Amino acid sequence: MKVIASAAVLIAVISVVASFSLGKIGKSSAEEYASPSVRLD
Amino acid sequence: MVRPCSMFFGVHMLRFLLGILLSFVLIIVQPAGVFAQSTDRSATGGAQTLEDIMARQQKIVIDDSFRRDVTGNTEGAAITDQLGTLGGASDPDLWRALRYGSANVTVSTGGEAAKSVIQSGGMWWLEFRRDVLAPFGSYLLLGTILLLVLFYLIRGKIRIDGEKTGETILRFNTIERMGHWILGISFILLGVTGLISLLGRMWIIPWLGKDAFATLALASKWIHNNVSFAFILGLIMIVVVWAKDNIPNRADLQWIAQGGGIFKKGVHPPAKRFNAGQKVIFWSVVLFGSAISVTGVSLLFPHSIPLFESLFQMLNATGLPQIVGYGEISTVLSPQEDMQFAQLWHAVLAFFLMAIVIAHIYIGSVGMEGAFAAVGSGEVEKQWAREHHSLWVESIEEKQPNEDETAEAK
Repeated sequence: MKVIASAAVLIAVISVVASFSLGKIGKSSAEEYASPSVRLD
Repeated sequence: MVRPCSMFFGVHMLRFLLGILLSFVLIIVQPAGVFAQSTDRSATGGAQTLEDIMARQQKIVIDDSFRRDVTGNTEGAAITDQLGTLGGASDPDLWRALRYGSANVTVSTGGEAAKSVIQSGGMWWLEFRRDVLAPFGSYLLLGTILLLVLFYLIRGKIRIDGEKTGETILRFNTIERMGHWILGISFILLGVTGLISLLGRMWIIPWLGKDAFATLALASKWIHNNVSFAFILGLIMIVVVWAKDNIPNRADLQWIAQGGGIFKKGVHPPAKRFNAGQKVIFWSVVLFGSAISVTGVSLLFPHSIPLFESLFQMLNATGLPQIVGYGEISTVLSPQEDMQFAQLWHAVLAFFLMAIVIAHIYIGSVGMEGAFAAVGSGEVEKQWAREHHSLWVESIEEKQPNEDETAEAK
């Protein structure tokens, strides 16, 4: 049962790290998409 | 060393699985082939007729060049150099150009994806997701659970037939069990949150209301996006530790011929470390899990990792879609369409994998006495191992005296 608990803890740690990393990527992506303009020629 | 017969079965199993994967692709792709249709549009001045509209409603792919290509003629305009009019393009011309992606759109940010102002392919995706994927996926999961309940009622729990020895044997070490549980727990979390995302609008909103569902959906999205990386880690771990023991061999044929011994009491076909049923589950998890991971990462980074344009080109090059009478698959996809295919592929495979994993969970828990210990403590009852993995136990016991002799010699 220790293995199952350890796996659950590891999943939680990976998820939190991933969340922060994706958040940073998402932030830069959001800045890129901020105030877009579309022009039809 | 891999024996020739193992390789033979391996190649055939691989071809079989590839065939299944191809059929899934063909289920969800639209053909580029255009049904022959000769329509006289002189009465509408070249615009679409009732026949065109009816054909479209019947989902018949028609040659739409009479609309697609009519996007205005600036050269024919009376005034082009002054007054700043749209020249020879009327408003309908402009909307048609936007719909078919031929308008000259300039965007300040967002790349190619932002240039798709109208995306007709979205309707097909929306309808398939709502009318096919959600109901048939639900039937598959509910049907699997129903079959397992029936099986349990008829067969009951598969007990250890022989007398228990009281001795245990190490089946899976800590690293193996860790890989199993990282994959297993993350898959359950991803499955549940994926179902909430797909079916929540239909099943949860009428029950909990929109406000409560909004919170649930937000939490599900966070879990689904971030736990996915643990799933990929678990997948890599099980491939590294178990792939070599899951190569098909001759004993698998005997195991399959005897139905794995699960339908009749006292029948125990020989098996090595993994039997044929476990191998099917293993390779399903690896192949489906890999495809689900790739499409999932593509969805996590919108428009950054397009997959399907090149995949469809490869499929067309093999000639397989043409052989099965499907015609060439369209390889001209908008960035949004690529993501729509990624989402469908992701969800279709996930439904099949969920059905397989539900059966795996059943047999590893309530369905078979002594099976859970293999991934729980790692130690299994020796009699259980003899009944379900006799060849593996023999190979362990053959090694054992040699080790004892070596110890004595020292």
